[in-house]
Amino acid sequence: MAEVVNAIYRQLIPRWHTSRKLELMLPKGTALTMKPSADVTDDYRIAHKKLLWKEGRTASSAIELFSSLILSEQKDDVEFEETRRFLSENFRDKSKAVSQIVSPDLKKIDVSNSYTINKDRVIGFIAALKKILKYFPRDALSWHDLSFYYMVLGEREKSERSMYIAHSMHRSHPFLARSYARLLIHNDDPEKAVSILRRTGEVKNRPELLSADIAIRSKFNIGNIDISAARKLLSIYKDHPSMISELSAGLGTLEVENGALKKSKKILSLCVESPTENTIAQLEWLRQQHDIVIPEYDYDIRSIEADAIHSFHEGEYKKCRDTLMMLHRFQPFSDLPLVDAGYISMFVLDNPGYLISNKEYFSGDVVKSFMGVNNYIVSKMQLGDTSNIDIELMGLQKLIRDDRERAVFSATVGMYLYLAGFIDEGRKKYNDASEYFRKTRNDFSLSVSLTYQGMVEKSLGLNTARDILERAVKEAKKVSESPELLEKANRELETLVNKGDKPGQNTFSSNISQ
Amino acid sequence: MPSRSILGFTTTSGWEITDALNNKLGTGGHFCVRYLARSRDGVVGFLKAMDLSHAIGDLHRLQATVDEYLFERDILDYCKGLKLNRVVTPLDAGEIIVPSFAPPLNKVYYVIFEKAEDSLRGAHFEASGPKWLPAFKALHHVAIGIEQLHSTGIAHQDIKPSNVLAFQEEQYKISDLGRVVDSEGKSPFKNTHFPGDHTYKPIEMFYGHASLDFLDRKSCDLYMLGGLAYYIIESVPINASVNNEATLIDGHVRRRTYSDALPVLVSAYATVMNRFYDTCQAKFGEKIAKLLYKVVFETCNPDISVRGCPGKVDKSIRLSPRRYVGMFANIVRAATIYSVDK
Repeated sequence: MAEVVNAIYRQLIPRWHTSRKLELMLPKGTALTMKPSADVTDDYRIAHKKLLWKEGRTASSAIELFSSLILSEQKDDVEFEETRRFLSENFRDKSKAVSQIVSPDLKKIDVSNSYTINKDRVIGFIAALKKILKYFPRDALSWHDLSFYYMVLGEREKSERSMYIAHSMHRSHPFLARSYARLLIHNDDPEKAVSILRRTGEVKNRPELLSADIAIRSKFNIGNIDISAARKLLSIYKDHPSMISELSAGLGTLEVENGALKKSKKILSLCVESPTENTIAQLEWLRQQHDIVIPEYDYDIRSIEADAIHSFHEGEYKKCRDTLMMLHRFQPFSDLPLVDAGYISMFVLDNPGYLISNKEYFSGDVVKSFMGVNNYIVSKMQLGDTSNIDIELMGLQKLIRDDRERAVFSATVGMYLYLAGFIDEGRKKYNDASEYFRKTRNDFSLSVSLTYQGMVEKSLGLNTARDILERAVKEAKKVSESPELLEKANRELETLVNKGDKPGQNTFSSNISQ
Repeated sequence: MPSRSILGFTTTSGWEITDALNNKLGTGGHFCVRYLARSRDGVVGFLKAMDLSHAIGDLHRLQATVDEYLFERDILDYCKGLKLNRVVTPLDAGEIIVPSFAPPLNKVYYVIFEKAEDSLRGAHFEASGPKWLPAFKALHHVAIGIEQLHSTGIAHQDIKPSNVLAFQEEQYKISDLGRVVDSEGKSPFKNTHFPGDHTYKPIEMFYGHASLDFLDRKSCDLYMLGGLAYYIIESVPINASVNNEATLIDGHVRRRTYSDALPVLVSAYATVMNRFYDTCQAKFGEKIAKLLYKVVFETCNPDISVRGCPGKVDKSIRLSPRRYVGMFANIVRAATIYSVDK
């Protein structure tokens, strides 16, 4: 359930951002460093341009010198600031192009800090990108961004088609290949994601491609991981820490999984010098799940996902939920943060009303994944609202992708049947779900399923509620990595005891604190 | 230095050196001293004398400077013979002996050119209220000049505002053949990827993509022609605009290879060209804007595989300046009809 903040295994699956928001790949406030290169041969005729500038301070001499200093990357030159100020004061209003080089400002269609999730606005972004592509069909980054926004709307086919076009123009480009791979992970096709990375022909030569390859293979158990190539690249790029940050974090995680803690710490120490936002989240996950602390790393450097993981493990569930909502706006094509936020609200914070009052995030019209829609339907039922549930359940059924989700669906249908008065049928559905979870040794889902069944039976005043909740407590005890399960099951059991084991109210919502 | 001591001298061909120009600021190429000279029949010319002062004590540099001068003189002579009317060709060339210096430093090589009214830099960029029709004519004439040079196996490699000279009656010519590369490989710069001012070089060169192939040299000239049009209208070199926009998208772009940077450059170019079209439309109306946009878009495309005439597979045809001579002629015609300067 808490697939983001309490994942059993995490790898550095590439982030996916639009071309105009690449800064989001880095921790907030991180400055990009540009090494100026000394132009000893004066290929830009800067000495001559300085003479012209000194002789007569005109707009044209300022622009010539300023442009040459920009292009030769000599921004620390005294005359750079002097000419910039001169142009800013005297010339910028006369030409947009001059203004743009004097005070650079990236033109973005989405000006929000992360991403807008408002459907109408996203449709507007798509229209704007299509307009750009009408005139610039070879602008691969606009195709890429179009793909991103289609995915935000849940238009998977259009999204993949647009990404395919972008990628076709530059097949070995790391950014496009990584984004394409991320999209394919989202579309449940990790094998193709690995194939796209391999077909660049550069996986063994480029740390950013190999890190993605290792992450996907490791997470989805695909083929062999090329550890020796990774080690080789870590050595080659040791003087470029930002390039090997994700590769070393990924490889270090593999070593942790293999139990080689000493070796893993040595490798992980390479990723901390210039970490990406994804690396920071990985380091926090390693700290929380494996007690791996890298002495050289300053854990005060945060990323949204790292914050969410941290607050969950600190038991700060409200903060965690709010951070997950931010994480959704950070990677808006993915429902996973919403699923976690929904779980925390409904189950941990006893607040299903949060999902209903934020239906612009959680309703079935917006979320696309089975678990996301399921959370919303369960929340509605928890609040006693069974209007249109049958229709919503039919929609949910279409989203089922595997047996686990089929079992969850069975439990949700069971809840509906209980509330509709079909106690035996409801119980049977819950039992089917529990049986599946028991067989597949999914203690977490079993405990959640039993807790919900106990809650609904309790609300209906059924005598079997105690037994079910006691079983839920027993199962929750097996899931030590999710203490919130036991807390919840115990809480439900305690309220049952406090009420003297008497029949409760008629509606499910009565036991839910809002 | 002898080159700075020839004021008042008269060449064997009869040119009297009458005035010294401000050598700090002048155009005319590398390592030269600039004068005005008057012929016996009263024609005033611009005299460029080779200055060896920077090379004293360094025999290789001395030799290289002399070689560069001799090559430029030969190229100019060659062009003069071909009667290229859009390229500044010499009126006279030779050497002056300065008795106060010992041989071989007593010899000053010189070339005399027709004296221009101004350069495009002075006439357009320094002017308080720039006139557009003459600027478009200049672009047309530069395009013709490039075509003339290319047809004779010469790539200019340093097209920029100060190397376009303005003569009477709004006639413009390309000057400074000191950095040219020829198809026969005689140029001292034949092994230099880009001998001109790097501010104006094709954008792929900022990302390490360069070629010594003569066809690619011609592509450079075409790029600089489009870049000149952009510069005239937007008052900024196109490389500054595109690189600036690319850096906004990807702060590390200048550290990348050409193939890694290309998608960013193309996307940045789309933004820059969009802005360029808006500027052109606001200044000149839709018809001229479309033509200008087309010229710049095709000639300055960061994607070298499609630069030039769209749809032409043969690279030499795709990169021919002929198409742009015609397009600039249309721009001049339209600017005349629509009276852009009123």
